[in-house]
Amino acid sequence: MLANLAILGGTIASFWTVWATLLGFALLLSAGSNVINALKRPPFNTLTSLALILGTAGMVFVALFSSPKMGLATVWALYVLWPVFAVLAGVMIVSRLFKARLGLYGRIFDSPIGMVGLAICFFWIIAALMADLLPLYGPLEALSKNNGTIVQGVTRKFKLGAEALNGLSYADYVRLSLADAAEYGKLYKSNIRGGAPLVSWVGDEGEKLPAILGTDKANRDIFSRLIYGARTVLPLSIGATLVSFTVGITLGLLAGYRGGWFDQVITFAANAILAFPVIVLFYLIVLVGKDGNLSRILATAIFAFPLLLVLAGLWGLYSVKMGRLIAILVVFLPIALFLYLRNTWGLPDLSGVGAWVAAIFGGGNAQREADIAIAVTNFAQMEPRMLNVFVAVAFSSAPGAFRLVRGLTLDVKDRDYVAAAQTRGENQFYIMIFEILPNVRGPLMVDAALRIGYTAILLGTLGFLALGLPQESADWGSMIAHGRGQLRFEPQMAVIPALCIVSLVLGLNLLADTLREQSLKD
Amino acid sequence: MLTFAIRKLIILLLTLLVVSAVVFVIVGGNARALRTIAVLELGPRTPQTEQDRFIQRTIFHQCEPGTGAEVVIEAPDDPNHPKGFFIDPEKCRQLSLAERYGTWLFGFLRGDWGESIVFKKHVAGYRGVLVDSQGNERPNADPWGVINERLANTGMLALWVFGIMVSLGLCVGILAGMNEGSVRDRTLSVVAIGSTSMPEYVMGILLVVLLAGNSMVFAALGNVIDVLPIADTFLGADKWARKSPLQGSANLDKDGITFANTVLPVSAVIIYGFGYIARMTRASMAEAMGSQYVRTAVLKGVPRHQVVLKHALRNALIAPFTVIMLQFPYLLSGLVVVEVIFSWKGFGWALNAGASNMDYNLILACSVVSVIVVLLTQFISDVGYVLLNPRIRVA
Repeated sequence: MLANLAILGGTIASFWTVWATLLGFALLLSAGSNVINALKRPPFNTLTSLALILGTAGMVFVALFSSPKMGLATVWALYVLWPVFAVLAGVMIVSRLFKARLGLYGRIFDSPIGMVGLAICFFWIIAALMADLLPLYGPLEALSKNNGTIVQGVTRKFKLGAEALNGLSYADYVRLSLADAAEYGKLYKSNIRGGAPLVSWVGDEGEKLPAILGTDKANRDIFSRLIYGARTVLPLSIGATLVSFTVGITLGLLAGYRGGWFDQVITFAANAILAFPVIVLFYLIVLVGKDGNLSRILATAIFAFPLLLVLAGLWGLYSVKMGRLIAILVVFLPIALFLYLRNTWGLPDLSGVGAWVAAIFGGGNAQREADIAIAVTNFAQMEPRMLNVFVAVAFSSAPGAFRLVRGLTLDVKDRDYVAAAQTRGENQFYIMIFEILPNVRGPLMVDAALRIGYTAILLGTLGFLALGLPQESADWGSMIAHGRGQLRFEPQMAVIPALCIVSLVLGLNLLADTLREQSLKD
Repeated sequence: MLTFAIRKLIILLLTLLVVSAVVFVIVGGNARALRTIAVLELGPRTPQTEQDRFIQRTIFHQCEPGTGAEVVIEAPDDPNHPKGFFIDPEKCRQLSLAERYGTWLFGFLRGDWGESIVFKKHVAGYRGVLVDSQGNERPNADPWGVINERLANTGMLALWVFGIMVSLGLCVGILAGMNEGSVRDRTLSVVAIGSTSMPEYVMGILLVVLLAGNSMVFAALGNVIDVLPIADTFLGADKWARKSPLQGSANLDKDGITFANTVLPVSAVIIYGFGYIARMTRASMAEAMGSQYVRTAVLKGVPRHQVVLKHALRNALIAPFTVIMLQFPYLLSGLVVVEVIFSWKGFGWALNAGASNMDYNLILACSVVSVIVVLLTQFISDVGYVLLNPRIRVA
């Protein structure tokens, strides 16, 4: 009994330690400029809750940032990322200026919460786009002459095993780190640009950046990998969400509009998929099915839906103008089928063409020929391991999208404009795609924003459990998994990628919340 | 009502049948991986026949007499074999996937879930004798199967998570929804949104860094407390321990479920999960507070706390009930992640270990068991919704 009570109390206590901090931020966000007024009203007028918030926030802040490492790293990160912040500020200011003309997007700027969410999303998008222009190391580039992280230095210098550091206090640790950093400063003085030695100084000659957050086991710069990580996470999560939405829209519209046995069968299948906990589904698809053709079969099914949706839309529009339909199909079908087959079964096999092109354009340079051959062979094709993950994520979130679209369609299909279209004798695909779909776009958009965030979380889970994603991939989940072993000595290795995921998802969630609110105002 | 429940039950069983067949095809259709596992388990120099036996004992453990599969009950090339547990490899290889599914299903229903490769014992509690790859019998010292004990551990974790998460989510949701648009509502809503963007693995890592063992917070606190003038007065000679009582990794076999190893995993799941429940409750509560009957009650002069508790809350709790029950699959997923992080040796930990090692029977059993749990909660949610909501109590 006592132990049970203790579990309860401890859970609530640890819960509040973290959440009181966030509560403080939430208060600031939600109250906006009225923060002082808000503090005068309940429940924040009591001094105790304020003390709780400030106290815990201060505690977390001290714990995380009191070390000179983190403070310097923050300054360096701001310096390296300044072009991203500049572009972000430009985009935000321009959007704010023209918000009256920008429709729903413009109205996001009416709410401070929405602006914060949008800024976070834009930050990651811009960072992903600009990653090559920033002074970063490559995501897979092993640093040539690295002094190692501070902890490695400490253990080496004092000839200690990693376990010996367990007995050191935090202050001892910081003191040792400082002493060590000073040592490195002397050693590499000629290379130091700013003066004081930073986290761990990398490089042999000339101007090189420090590894802001240190390096990982393979000597790759963690900070650069974080920024490049957005390039893995964003396209995968947005792409998988879009594909799962096309699956959901195609099947949901059909099931909701037509009803009957088709509806029952698809609903049953969706419920059967939803009966799996997502993780079990991932284990089955990614881990167990990786030797077989499971992901290719799933890809064949899933990637067919964007194609079918476009075909149905074209048929709905041009079923009475056959000539135009055929003209469009002649252009569209070969390209679409090529992409579809390339990304499902790897057909047609381009390795022969690759060798041929390489022989012509290689100019006798073996390295260049090999590059060209690989580029042509992999043309318009997702990497197999990425495809595996993509399919698993899209597959697991498609039933949710299906249920949403089906419910909305059932709600809308008896409206007058649908009846009017039916009376006009419109094609049923036209009614579904051009009458019903545009009228349910509000909830769909909100759900899409939420689902992209959820997909990012799923990708993180996959990376964290080392399921499917390539080991060297720079996605945030894998980085958390890599950093887990060094949690005690180098907590930033796991904590910072974790905060990246949280920030992206938080931004998307805030955005979705604002979109919902703003679209309800109509 | 009864017909509705029976219809749902039939759909449940049908779903279970279809899902288990799909799982069986995915796992069972992957024979190449099993050959790899056999080589890994027995060593590269074991003869082909021995590997065959290993695979058969793993896959075709149900091919015993009376299961309908036509098999020869004598060890083909092993005269010393006592009971003829092994079956004719040729005959078994000839079984189609459908027939294998049939025998597997039959064994599953009898409680014979096969032997786990990783844990070297039966997946479910098993009464029989174990036979090793040499054909020797060994006593079944541990009749308590892998799944049974792991599920018990996970059950305790899930109980704590569910109890605290639901009560917390409901409280926050009701407080926020009581007066929509107020500062309290907006603040709690942002907290709930924040909650839904902190997945378990993030929260687990953060909690370990901040609060477990030689964590930063406790060490930093120690530094601060040492400097304070009161330290000598209150703490005396024994200074602040600098060590958190909470553990970042559980050792269930030694300690059992204790305060120290339960708090952090439970917190990690709760922080991710409660926000969704809170948001759903808030929406439902806000809708109820704006309804006609609440306005009537207010105009009638009913005191505010009575309006909230008696009129609004009762109606507002129907929708969250469904939401809470449908949270179960996500809760299970979260538990798997958390169990991996905190090495909490439960169901999810076993699933992770099994799936990483292609543990045929364990993967099958774990998948089917988790699907059964989810389907049961869905069933309870469907039936409970009809029971709770008089407006749709048809038939």
